[in-house]
Amino acid sequence: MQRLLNTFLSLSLIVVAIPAVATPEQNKESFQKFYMDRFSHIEKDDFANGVYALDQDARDQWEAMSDFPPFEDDLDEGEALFNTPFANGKQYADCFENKGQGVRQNYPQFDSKSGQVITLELAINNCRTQHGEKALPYKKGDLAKVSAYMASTSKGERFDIKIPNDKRAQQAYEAGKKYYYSKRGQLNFSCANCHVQNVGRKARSETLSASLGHPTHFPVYRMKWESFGTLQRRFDSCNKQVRAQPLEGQAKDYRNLEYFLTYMSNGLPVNGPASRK
Amino acid sequence: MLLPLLSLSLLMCVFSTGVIASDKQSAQAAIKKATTLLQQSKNLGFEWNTVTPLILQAQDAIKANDFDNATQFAVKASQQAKLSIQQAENEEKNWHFNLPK
Repeated sequence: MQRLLNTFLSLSLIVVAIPAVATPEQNKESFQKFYMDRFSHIEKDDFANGVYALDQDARDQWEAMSDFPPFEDDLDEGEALFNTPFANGKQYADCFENKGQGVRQNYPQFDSKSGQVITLELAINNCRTQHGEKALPYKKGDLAKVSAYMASTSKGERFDIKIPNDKRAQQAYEAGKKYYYSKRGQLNFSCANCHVQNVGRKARSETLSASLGHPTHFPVYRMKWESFGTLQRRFDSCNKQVRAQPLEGQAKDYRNLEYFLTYMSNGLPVNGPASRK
Repeated sequence: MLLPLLSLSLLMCVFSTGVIASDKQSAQAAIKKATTLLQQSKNLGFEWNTVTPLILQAQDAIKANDFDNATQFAVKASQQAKLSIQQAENEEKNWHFNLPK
């Protein structure tokens, strides 16, 4: 009997010890499963439509507006900027694989040379500075327009964010995950408090969207902004809402958060740029 | 005649608030303390966006020679910065409890 008890206790310890550290892949599976179970009537790809996957009334209005998207002029400007040569004769296309066409689904990516997460917007500015141009201000303006144009060339491609077998990449991913689940600001809210635990519920008149699919449609044109904004501009809005101090554009914490959040949406199609309220 | 006066004095002592008027030096010290705490919460990555405006209000009050208000704003800023540091310490230990079950 004693022997049986000892065996049982040993096995229990092993079972408890195994799931202590989940891999990014396991995290992604449980993250996506959470939303698929919570909203079993919604197709996985439809989460790429953000809040409009959950709120039919809002979706009807959004679809009616989609016949004449409010961002068309800005998107054309983004294309023109993308194709305008720098002073040295080089172009954005020279800095990206496949001449910058259809690459959105691979960003953010981990750069093993610098040991940093590189978002698409950071890569765009790196391209500029490499060719002697000034970096553009982050989060909105011309940078967001170029990024939106590049996203438009990836429409339908599926997100395929990689976390290479590099300790620094794992650390960046874990730091992003920690940021996402940590409560912050005077209101003591984490990203997950709204977008996981209370997803689909109302905050005042707004439906809280699922984080699955959050990065797929950025940069977005928000009516509130009357312009394109990057995902990090949206992080700012969330931080302000919980009374936390927003970070600088491309701050390490924001890039890590974007890395984690986009990895969680791996497999979903790129459908940016899109419009939002 | 003496007794009512003594009683009144005693009552005034009992119910006095004990507030000491602030001078410029104490207000500046309070702002310095708040600024140090704010920097700590910034370093931890948990700065609240309510603290800097309070410090700015305190600085404006000093410029207007309103040292009582300056001290009050600075003390409030310190309290909030301390809470944000407490939040950072708490989340360091407990953030993973927010993971989906």
